[in-house]
Amino acid sequence: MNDEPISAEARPFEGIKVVDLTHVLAGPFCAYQLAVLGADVIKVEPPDQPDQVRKSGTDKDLNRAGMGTNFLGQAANKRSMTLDLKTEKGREVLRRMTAGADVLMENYRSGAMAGLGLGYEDLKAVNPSLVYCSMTGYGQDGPMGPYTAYDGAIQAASGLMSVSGTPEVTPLKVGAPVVDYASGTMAAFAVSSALFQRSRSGLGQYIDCSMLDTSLLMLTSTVTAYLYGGKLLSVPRGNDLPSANGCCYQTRDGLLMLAVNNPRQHERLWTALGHPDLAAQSSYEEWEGIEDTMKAELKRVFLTQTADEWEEYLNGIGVPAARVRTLPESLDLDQIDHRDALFHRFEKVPGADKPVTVPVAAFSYAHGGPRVDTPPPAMGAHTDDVLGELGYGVDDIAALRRAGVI
Amino acid sequence: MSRPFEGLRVIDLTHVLAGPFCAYQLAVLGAETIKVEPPDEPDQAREGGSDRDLNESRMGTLYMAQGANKRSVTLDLKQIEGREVLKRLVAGADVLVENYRSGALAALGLGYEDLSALNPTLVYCSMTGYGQDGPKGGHTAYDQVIQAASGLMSVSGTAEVNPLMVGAPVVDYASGTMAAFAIASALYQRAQTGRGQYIDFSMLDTALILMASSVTAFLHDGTLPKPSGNKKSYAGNSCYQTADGFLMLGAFNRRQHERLWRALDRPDLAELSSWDAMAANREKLSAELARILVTRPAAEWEAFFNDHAVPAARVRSLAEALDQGQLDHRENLLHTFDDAPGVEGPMTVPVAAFRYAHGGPRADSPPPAMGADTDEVLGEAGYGADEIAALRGAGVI
Repeated sequence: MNDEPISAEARPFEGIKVVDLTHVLAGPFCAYQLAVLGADVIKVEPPDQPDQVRKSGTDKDLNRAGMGTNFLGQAANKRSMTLDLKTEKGREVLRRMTAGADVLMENYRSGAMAGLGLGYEDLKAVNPSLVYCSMTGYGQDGPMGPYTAYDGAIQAASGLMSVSGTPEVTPLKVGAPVVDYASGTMAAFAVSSALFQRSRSGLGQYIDCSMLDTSLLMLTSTVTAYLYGGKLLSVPRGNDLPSANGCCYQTRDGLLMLAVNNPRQHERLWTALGHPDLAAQSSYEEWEGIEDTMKAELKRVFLTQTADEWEEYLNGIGVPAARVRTLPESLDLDQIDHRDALFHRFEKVPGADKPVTVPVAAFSYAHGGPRVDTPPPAMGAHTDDVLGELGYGVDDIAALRRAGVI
Repeated sequence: MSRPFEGLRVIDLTHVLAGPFCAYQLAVLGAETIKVEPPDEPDQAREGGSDRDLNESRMGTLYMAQGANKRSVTLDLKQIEGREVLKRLVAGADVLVENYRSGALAALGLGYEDLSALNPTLVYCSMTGYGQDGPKGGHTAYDQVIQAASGLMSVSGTAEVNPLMVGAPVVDYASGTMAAFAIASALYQRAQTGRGQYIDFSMLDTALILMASSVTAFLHDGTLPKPSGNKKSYAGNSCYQTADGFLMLGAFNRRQHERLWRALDRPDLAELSSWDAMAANREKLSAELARILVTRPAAEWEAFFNDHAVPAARVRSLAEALDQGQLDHRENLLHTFDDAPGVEGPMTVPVAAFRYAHGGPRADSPPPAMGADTDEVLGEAGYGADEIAALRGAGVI
């Protein structure tokens, strides 16, 4: 714990030190969310084995420079150091780092860290107030505990693919690694809650996070309904949803998603469309009797104007609806300009020849909220700094480098 | 060992899925969460779900899934007496979370400025579709609207079938998780600074962050992910037909690629392990995998590959997913209530995606019927039996 006085404007995790041993997407995203809220996050990578996302993304030059876009999207505010945990000297450095840290996060295969003498029990002995978070595909034990997994495998194993697609094209993966980002968010919630718990109890914590569990929680309503009555609420039916009031429609120039979900919205929609008879049938039970009538009428009427016109009109009368946008169209929404914490643009990032804009946070605070301070670091950019802070002298650092430990 | 939020009080003014899920995650970590509903307008999730009887008794599965550990109070905030009750509850609360249309609570004199005057250490979280201001700030939204507006539909599907909704409301649950993170962090912040906080949370932002890698790439060089269904950029992380279903492979990196092809006794292909070689040989490797994987059932392949440290999973139905032995080892994931009010037979609900060594997430009490705790909560706030009867007579509760 840091003893410096806390400013009233400080972000939640200023003064908190996070040792980030994670790689790929879910783990680094979790550490990133702590970093934008002020934590000093030290990303640790084996000298000969950079986090694989440094080499992945859409820009080949960046991949070659170890600054791939998949890495850039979640690396700001972190410091980077290299360290070989397969050497005893490297483990000694990690133990020294851990002694002064608040959080350690790792997403190696379950048991791997303990196998190196760096499991929770080992490091708790060094620092009893440490919050140690392990993230794996399936959890720390059980028959699938040792399995490595990525977003795709978890989408497959959790049934998320089985509820996506159309009757003809299913099972189907969601087009973005949403389970990775949801898992990172869930782990960030688990860690922040454990830090709060520690602020009251003084006790450290061990967290066993599972991506499979997260994916099933993203299916909460479907899981509960299925386990109760054996019915599947979510089935692959594409955009043709069962309720006329909550379905996707063709307009004069694209698709419109309508989401009338309660009686008041129903009344507003059908009154506005000049159907007081349908508007009057506003209970959920009554909807069932008029689904076909409503669907036929909505199919007809939405074709008469553009999706943008409908979106503006419907939201103006308190009826939720949105044009189905491409990602560029979505990022071009004026609304985005009003979300202070959502994006940050770096004019200069090491290794990139043009500005890089990265997502930051999905929320803003009245004070001391999420913010990006420093660009994604090149691999090992802060190794010397971090070791210096731990008390290693210039000669010690040179010796570690010669031995390939850093 | 106490859980993180034991002793903390959360006033939950949310409805539908994302907001109540956020409050639920705080509740399973020990917060006393008081769900407040207008007497004449139950949370619509109470009337939604797969079982008609439960919907009619306002205990629909959509509500049940995230109603455990909460207390339920009815309160009409459109009446001044109702607002007075809320203010009294807020005075002793730590968190207020709401997902009404932006500006709606401020118009009732219950905005952040109003309530922080009563309780300066309050953490007040507003959850909306698009955020509190801006051209879409006042627009109501649900999961599918945000899937549409954010571009998530546009990157899903196949070349032929696109745009496509994700089959479950993942944006709702991810939003609830993100808001829970924002609140937990603000509580930690408050423990350091002593100050309350206002949180302006947006589902659109959350959906964009669920696409962080695509967003960063597009904003850098204009490259967009193509809706490519189950066919991914490398042969080693695509989906294949087996003798009896699909297998999703996740051989992402060089070492996994090498292990995969050695396990299949193809050292010649194992050598094509640089990122460039994997990309250049995608079609060849993919055709070979298709030919090999169709020869055995998916479950055998799943065991085979994982034994060789190659990530792979059989594409399961939800029924199969919930039947895997692995779930027996995740003691926080699901909880079965044998006697939830209004429910015949047992009811199993998800709880948390993680476990703690001590004081971790837990389901204690079943989802309450609407207003089940009104009298008790008002009594604790100092209202006498006569006052409660008068409030009930006036339709305030």
